[in-house]
Amino acid sequence: MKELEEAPMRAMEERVRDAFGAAAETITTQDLPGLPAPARRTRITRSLWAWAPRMRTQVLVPAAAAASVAVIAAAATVAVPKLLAGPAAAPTGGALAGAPKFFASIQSDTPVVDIQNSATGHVVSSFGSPTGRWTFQLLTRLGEDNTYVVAALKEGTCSYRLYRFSIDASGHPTGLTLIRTLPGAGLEELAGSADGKALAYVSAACRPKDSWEVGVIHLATGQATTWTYPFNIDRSYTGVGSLSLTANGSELGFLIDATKFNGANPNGGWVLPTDAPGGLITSHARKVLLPSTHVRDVILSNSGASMYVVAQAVRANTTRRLVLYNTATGKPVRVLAHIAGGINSALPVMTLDASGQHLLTYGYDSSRRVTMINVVTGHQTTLKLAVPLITDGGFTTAAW
Amino acid sequence: MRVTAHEADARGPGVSPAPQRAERLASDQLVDELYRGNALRLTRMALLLVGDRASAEDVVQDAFISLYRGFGRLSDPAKAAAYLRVSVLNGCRSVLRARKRARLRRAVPSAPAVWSAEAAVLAGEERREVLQTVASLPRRQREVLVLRYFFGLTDSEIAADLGISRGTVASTASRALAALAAKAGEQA
Repeated sequence: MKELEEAPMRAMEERVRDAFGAAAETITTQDLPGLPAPARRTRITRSLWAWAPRMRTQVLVPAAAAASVAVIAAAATVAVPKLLAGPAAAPTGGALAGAPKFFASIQSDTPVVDIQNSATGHVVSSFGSPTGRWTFQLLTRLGEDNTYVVAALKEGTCSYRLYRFSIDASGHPTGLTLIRTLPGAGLEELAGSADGKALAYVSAACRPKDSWEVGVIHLATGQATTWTYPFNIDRSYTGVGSLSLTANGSELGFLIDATKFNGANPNGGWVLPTDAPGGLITSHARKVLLPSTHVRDVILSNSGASMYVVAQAVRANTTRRLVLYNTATGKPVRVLAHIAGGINSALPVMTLDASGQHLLTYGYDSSRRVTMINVVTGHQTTLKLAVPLITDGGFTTAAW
Repeated sequence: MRVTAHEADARGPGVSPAPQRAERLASDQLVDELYRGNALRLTRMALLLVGDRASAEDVVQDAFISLYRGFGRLSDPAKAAAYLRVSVLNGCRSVLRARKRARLRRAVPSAPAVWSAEAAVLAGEERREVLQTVASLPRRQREVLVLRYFFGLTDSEIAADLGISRGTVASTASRALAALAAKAGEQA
């Protein structure tokens, strides 16, 4: 667009200042609430808050134990749409030994899946949704053979379509296949098992709009079980997220953030057998992680014997620690790595590769940093992407 | 709640001990001062980005909660103020993105923006039109305009907050003003 001449520019600047000033003055000192008391707010409750910032007075209503899941009668392979040219990334890190060669991502403000070189961040290929009315929103790895699931949202609805695709040796997508539709599911996160047989999700269920819904779908049989957790307890935000599955899909790991629940404090990292009956998610789950004000994200190891936890150091506000916990004892085993970050590299998301040895971590960070960590050696590399992966936290948008 | 020394030790090696009581009190006082000195301006800034007072207040409250939890000792209030500003920017981005998704889901409706006719808070049709046009601009353009013409930051400071170059700040502002002028010309 043609730039303004100086005089009209000055005039427009004054109009903007005037308008900003007038709008700003609608808030006065008397309008401000007091300094807030410190409270635990993790990525998951932040996501909830962002979705419904004034839910404080909502009445809790118990939800049904199981939800019906629509199954596509015949799965058809969809032709992969024409590849799009991806944005150039600024390479800053080298390869992490043994890590997957590529990772898939949905970068903020774009509805396409990018497949990026893990060593350089360079976008090798991209693809969009097969139909214009469905836009890609979430992504997770499924299986050991470079297979992934991407969730597409239908515009104007609360319905998601789940597609499976693979990445070939040259970093191009193949075999985009529609596998399932989830009606009435406001998806927040996805997680797949390394054996490719189970898929977990958490949604801020559209109906009813008063509880989180966590589901595990056994893809071979189509069987699905769902559990719930209330949004709001005693006028405090709650949330469940940071989903992960063991390699065989037998256990689901997750993080709960809440302040009160029938006198007990459910905050912390949990593990649920995926064959547990539906209902309140904490009924059949065991808490494996001691509560901490600084836990940011958790992920189960492939075996379920360990849980990787990203915690914020008490004093060092610019770093996070990756700590290995024993899920049987709930005790920390050792600090695996320190993850550098700017003052606002908050709320990281972790995703493991199929081997269970390499973590990909990211968050909403204006520096657009992605960190990759070998959980055995602690070695890490960092990539800087052209645009951030997420800008609002709480969504699984990258996997390898 | 601050982690006690016992809890910190139980979490294994490499964990810093919790700050002592005197240090916590000093931090509390510093955060309190930062709140009294910055909350109004930050809330107003957030209002210009997200449009409604409730969301703006939530964003700023979140930023101070984050500050309180993340700083064992505040040695440089100037840096804390910048931290808060960027925290609020990130919070506003989160609100706007979630609001977009909520509209897709036909979930919770957004509160009317303060400059909308429905809100009827802001007087002056011309001011409302300017703000509505600003709200329709790409995110970066909106943020640059707010930081420059409301917060009064220099281009260097804006560049630092947004993680972009000074040149990008200047060109972004120019494009935004040109877009506003073009819209005003259409409406004239």
